[in-house]
Amino acid sequence: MHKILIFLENKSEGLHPVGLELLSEVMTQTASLNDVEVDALYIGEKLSEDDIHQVKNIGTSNLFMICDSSLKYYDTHYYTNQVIQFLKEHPYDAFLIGSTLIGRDFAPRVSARLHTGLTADATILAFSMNEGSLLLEATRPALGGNIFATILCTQFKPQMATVRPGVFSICSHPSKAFNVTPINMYKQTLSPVEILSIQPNENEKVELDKAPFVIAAGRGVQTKFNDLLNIAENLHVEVAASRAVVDARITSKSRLVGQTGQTIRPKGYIALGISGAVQHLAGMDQSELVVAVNNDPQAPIFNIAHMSFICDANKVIDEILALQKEQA
Amino acid sequence: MSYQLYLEAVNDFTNRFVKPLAHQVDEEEIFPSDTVKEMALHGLMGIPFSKDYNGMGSTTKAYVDAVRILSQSCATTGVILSAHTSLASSPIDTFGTEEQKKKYLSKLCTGEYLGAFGLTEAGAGTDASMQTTKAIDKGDYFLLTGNKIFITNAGYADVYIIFAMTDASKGIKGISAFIIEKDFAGFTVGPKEKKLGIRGSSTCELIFRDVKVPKENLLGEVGMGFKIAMQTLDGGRIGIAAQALGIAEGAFERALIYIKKRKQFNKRIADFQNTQFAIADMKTKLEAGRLLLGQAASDKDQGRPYTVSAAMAKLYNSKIAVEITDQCIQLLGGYGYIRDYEIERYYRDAKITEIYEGTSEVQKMVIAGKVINA
Amino acid sequence: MNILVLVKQVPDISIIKIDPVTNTLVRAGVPSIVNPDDLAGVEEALQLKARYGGKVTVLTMGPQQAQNMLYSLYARGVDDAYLLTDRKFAGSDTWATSNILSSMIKTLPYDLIIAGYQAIDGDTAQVGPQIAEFLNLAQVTHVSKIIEVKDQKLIVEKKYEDDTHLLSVKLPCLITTLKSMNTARLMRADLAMDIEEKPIHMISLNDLEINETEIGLKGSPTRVKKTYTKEVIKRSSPIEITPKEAAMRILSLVK
Repeated sequence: MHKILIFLENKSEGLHPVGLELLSEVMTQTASLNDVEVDALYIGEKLSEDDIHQVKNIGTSNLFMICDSSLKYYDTHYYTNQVIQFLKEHPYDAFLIGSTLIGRDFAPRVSARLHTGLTADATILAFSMNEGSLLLEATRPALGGNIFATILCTQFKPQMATVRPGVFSICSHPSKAFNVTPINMYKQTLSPVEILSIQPNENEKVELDKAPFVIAAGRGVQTKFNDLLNIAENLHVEVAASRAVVDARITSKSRLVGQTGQTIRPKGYIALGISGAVQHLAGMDQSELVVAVNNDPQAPIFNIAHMSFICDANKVIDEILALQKEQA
Repeated sequence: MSYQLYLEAVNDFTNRFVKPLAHQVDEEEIFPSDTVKEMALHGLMGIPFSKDYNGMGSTTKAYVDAVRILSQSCATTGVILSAHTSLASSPIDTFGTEEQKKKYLSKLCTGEYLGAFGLTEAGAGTDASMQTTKAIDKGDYFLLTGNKIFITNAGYADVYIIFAMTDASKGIKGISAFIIEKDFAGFTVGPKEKKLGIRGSSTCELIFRDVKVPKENLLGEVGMGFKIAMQTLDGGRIGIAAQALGIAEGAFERALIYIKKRKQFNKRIADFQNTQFAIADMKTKLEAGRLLLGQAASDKDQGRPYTVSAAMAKLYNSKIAVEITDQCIQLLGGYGYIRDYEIERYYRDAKITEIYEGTSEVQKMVIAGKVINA
Repeated sequence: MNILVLVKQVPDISIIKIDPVTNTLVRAGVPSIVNPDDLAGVEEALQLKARYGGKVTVLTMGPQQAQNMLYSLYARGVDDAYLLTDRKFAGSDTWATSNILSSMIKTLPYDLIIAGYQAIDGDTAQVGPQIAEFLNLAQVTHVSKIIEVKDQKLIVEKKYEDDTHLLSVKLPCLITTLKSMNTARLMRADLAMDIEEKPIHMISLNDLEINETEIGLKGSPTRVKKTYTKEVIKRSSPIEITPKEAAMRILSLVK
């Protein structure tokens, strides 16, 4: 039996989607392999029936839950220890974690203590059998997204990888058996870190990953960002921004799409005044339809756009506003 | 290796603190006080002076490179440093007593004090000997009365090197130099002059009405003033030559970027032969200017006489600054005339380098004098 | 306070381009810089030193030319510098790198270790936490702000995706810093000029108590199977149209 474990991350309103995305992708990737079991590990305060149901629908074999009120909020010391104790009792061939801030905080510690390999921020996963052993090939962007590297860990187990949220979709798989196993919290010492307070972030709740249509502003239109917000409100679409616009403090990081921001795959992505640097493309090039407007016929964004318009994006914004006014 | 790192430090400083403000400094005629504070924090205010007095303990070459690099972005910032270092700190370093160096030079070098130099009067420009500002010996102090005009860093400086007649009957040998503090009673600064260029630089009249100057603030000996002034200006010339070269280099860089981008008649204007010839001429002038400047700095650093080499460096670099900035505007065409394009400022800034700290005519007098009377 | 800052010299990736003909990276002529997250860490360390007194030491593992980076950090005001350099370190993945750095750090006194959150070439964000694990230290990664040091504890702010935690961490500990935390100071011209007087401790494998089987390519649990640049497939040719036409087409798509 070859076993893969997925970490389910806690979010205030339930499960972080990345856990489900990973479960889904792994199920898909291992469909053609025999004897593979996919399990999930949850560490937190509690899981709702709804969440458990979602985990079941993806085709998970075993859901392990370590629940305790002391685990409600993430703590490096607690989570690392719980995971390691669990893995010592339950060996796996591969262990995948979402490359969220939480995942990227404890995954390296686990890999260090277990003396195993960890690939960071993978965007492509492939499983195969190599001399009777389950092999994970994790591919990840490096050099700011300029190159991709496929990483292997052949000498140690579990092969670990953190995986980028928003890259994989969640889909159902026929359920085999599904077991829910609560695990008692392992004994541990007091954490050296104390949480003094927790404040929600003040940024407007921008849900770029949920929007079907996104209009993105680049350096070329940064002076018209507010106009874009108006346009977007009327059309009920979301507004994203490139690194240049966020660095110029025209809008907050919650709108940043790219290598150091969010990765999204909307139905439609309209890039205005964006040159298309590799770091930006990394965050949106899987969009279903990409429309790009730029003055520069050589702009790299045109290489990946389905529809490429050479003209002044600022004027396009003016025209859209004018058309919207007419229709009002 | 450390010199390379030093140049990198000065360049990084200029890009972060000087370049972004240059346009506004000129448009709004703002004296960049914050930049001066940052220059102090980054160790730029005492480059060629001994570490014993908080200086960097470095060379004229290093100081001159700093003025040049600053001026590539902002001629105003360049002259603030040049006047401070060459005209105020330098005479105290050369002619000051130990007490004066401890009291003033140490603070000038850290940038706690900003310096200035007051020689020019309404009736005494090129003919500097016609000093009417008087300093009467009153026993335990000198009583200073008179006016100075066109003084750089005026109103912002803490320390001024002021020249005054202590004995009119002795002519040039009757002029003495004094260290004046900004808060001395009776010393006021007039309004800021409106200038063609280096508009952020503070250029004002200084008014002295029965200012009591303590005896210990006499710089050098009585009657040594003219000699101090001339020697100080010799060194100051090297700083201005650096400023002029920086202005020319800055304009040249901007023009180069433009000509490679701009297309007319389906080619870049860089591809037209007349443009290429203009570039070749300018490049050769800049190189010649750099060599003359380097020679003057080296002469001073090695203890060789540098009066003539400094004069030649200033004469030539100020001339090419005016020529090159003119040519660069021409290359940019209409855009060269638009203030937002930040090249016409260089043209306006260049002109003063042929005038202050000894006009080009004075430089020629100096050079010819040494050559013919050798 | 004795502060160790881990720094890495990296290529300036904002300048890196892909050769359109060979589809490989053009690395020639790309200047090296201090990794931005690490430089932010140096700035935080210098600010802590100004507040609480102490010493700031920078450490890097890299080739000989990383010395230039260390000199530029001396010119910013750090007090001591170590370069861990040895051909046998080459090919180390994050585990092996963390192992090497930890074995050096074990020999030095420290109250706080600062590492940049992630390097712009590797993009892994793994070395900081792995070192913390090897040294058995508390950690806070992705720190958005250092508040103060109080009663042997470091108070920091950590911004997660949705909320911000105010945390108190027992010293000694390790934190990882972000470029966005501060504007790192520039070199001082006077410090730059005196750089040749500054010592850089050169550390090779012989100076460390470490198992040779746990370093370099052979000692790395992960290895790179292959690297490639993304193939760019042009989906459509760009067309020149009027802004009005473009506006109309966009609106019709969204509706």
